[in-house]
Amino acid sequence: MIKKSLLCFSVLFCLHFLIVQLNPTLGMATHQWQENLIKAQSFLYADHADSAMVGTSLSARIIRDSIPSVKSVSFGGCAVEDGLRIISSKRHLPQYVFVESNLLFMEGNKELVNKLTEGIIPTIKYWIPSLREQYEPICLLASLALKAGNVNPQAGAAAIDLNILNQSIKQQQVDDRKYQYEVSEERLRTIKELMDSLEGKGVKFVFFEMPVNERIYQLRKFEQTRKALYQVFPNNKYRYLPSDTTHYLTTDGEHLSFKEQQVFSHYFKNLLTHTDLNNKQHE
Amino acid sequence: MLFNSWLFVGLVIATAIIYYLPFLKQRQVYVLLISSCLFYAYDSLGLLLLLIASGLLNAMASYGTMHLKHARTYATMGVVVNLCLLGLFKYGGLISTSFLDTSSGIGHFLCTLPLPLGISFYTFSGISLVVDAYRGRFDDQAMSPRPSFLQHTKKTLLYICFFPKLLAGPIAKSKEFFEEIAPKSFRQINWTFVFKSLVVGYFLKMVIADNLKDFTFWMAYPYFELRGTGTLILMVFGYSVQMFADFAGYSLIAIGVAAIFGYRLPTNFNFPYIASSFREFWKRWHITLSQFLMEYLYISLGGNRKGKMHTYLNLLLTMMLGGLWHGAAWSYLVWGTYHGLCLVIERMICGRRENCISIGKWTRISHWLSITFVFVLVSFGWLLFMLPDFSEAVLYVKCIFTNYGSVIFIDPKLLPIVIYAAPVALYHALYCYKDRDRVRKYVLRYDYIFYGIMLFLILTNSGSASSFVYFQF
Repeated sequence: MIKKSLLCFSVLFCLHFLIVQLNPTLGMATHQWQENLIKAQSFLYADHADSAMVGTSLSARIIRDSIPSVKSVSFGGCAVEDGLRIISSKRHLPQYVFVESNLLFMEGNKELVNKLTEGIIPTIKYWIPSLREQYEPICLLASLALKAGNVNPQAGAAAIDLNILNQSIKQQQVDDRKYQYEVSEERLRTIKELMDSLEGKGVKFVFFEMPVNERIYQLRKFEQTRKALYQVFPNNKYRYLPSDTTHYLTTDGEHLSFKEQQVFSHYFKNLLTHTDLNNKQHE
Repeated sequence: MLFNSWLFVGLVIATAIIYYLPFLKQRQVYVLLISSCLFYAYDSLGLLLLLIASGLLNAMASYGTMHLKHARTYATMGVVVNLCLLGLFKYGGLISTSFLDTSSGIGHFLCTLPLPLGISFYTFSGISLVVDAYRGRFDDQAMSPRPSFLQHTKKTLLYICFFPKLLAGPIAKSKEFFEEIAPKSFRQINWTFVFKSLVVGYFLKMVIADNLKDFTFWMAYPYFELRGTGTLILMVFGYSVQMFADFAGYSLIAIGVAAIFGYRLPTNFNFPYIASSFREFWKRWHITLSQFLMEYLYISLGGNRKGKMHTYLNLLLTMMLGGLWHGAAWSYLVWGTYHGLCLVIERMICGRRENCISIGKWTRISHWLSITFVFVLVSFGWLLFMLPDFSEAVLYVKCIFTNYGSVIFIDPKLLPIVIYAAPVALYHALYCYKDRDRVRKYVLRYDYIFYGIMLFLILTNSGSASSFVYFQF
């Protein structure tokens, strides 16, 4: 019985391996954690990436297909720190890294970075692509189903619930008054060290800010972050992309709705096309 | 050390190799004890001393109860010490935050106490040993040449610390476990049993529970407020399946690993979601805990011997304490009370009838309605595990009734919950129909295909590793 089971397993494994080899673009994330892993693996296992983007769930929503030259290492539920650590672990570093500045000093998620960079598993996944999260059988099935239904896998809900939006903004305002956010010295040091180390290896950083609802734009957590950002990374030394002043619709005050993600992605793409990244002057 | 970590696999392999070395045949218990200490010390080195102290105290109390005068005194002492350990380390924080000043004095001290891993399980094992010794269940051993205190201590320590069952059971009965302690040989291993237990166990944990957890994550406050009615209900059932897969998976891995060392641990789950009454559910879910509560609490309280009202009260009290055993938070007491009330009401209305819902002669429909009813109520009960803050659990139920119009009814991104729940439904269905000729002939005969598929999915479709839900208890 055990031998037969192992034989059956071997047949399935070989079939799956073949399917993945023949269709490397198949597969999609079915939940946020998986999406983070797939994104990170796609960056880590790519031979070369000219530019990368690090950030939180705010910039994780930028439509990746529209800016293929920039590999996204922005993760939902994670922080800029995680993206920087993942970039640091890659042998061939990108020339430019776009850094989402809204929540720059947020604490990272060690679990994600450890899973992708420590132990033998990441190496095994490098050599055997069928073991990567993107090619999990359920991800292949989901991808096939969406292809058959002609649905965009990055599409979210079309409608915005204004009650939820207002409730969420109100809650954020209350929390902001309650917790009196401060950027700690430790957080400043961690981010600075990570960026200095990458800069030493020739990486250039470009900061950008994701649009949020104007009612929370002045929240203490954003204000304090901006203040610390300009102190540690002065705009005469670092490049900042101009903020988009358009009014965007968000689902909860911070996260862009699917439609607005498309608009902002288009804006971001245009900005990159028309900006000379080698010119350090602040815009 | 998680069962689903490479470190654990390494520990099991290394222990098995040393354990079966021919010249260590008489020292196998020591090999298991050393491995168990390593297993425990990996997560909490300091609290290993507490575990060993608990084992030694139980050895003294049970030895005194079995072989010395003043058996009652030893037994009382043993039970009291175990309960004090549990009370101090597990409930100290709860008592402190609820009734005392946490900023200074004893309130502050209780809050700073660590929660030792597996304390609920190893103190219950200790109580089982001492009470069984007092009740004369070891009389046959007491009649034979009296073992030395050292021999008894060795067995007790293994019974308390045996690493496959140390952190989350199954809670083996002391008498049965002691009878198994003997030199084992490699040839005695039932590899098919080991293989089946481990494959199903790891599949339930790594493929089902670990994947479902990333979908049921959105049940947390305040995320659930943004979800539609259908999604909220789907997540409740998904969490119910996740709870089963997580704990049943853990138990099966424990049983499989123990079998590698020649020990047979009791079954802990027997397809609980086909239960057609709450009484039956508790005979199928976490069986060893239910038996423990039944034998050492319910019967000690008087069971059903003192009339109906006392029976109801005993049932309620047993379930309330059983609920509180699951965690040091009042929500667990509420959860226990909820199940206690379900049992009491069922007993009042249905007596000892098989199906809790009965529609005349329509036994089949009654049966399926009962299964559905029990599953739905049990699933909603798990909300208190996911949302230990009682007000959040209430808000969740409220959202089910209010969010039907304002947002998407069912979020299609959460539909994989159905896919991950399907194998658990199939697992239960196969058990229900296992005696049918067609099922035997066309399905069970080719069971190796299922095991092959499960192995394949363990390798290619595992979720992100997480600790077992029951570790917190």
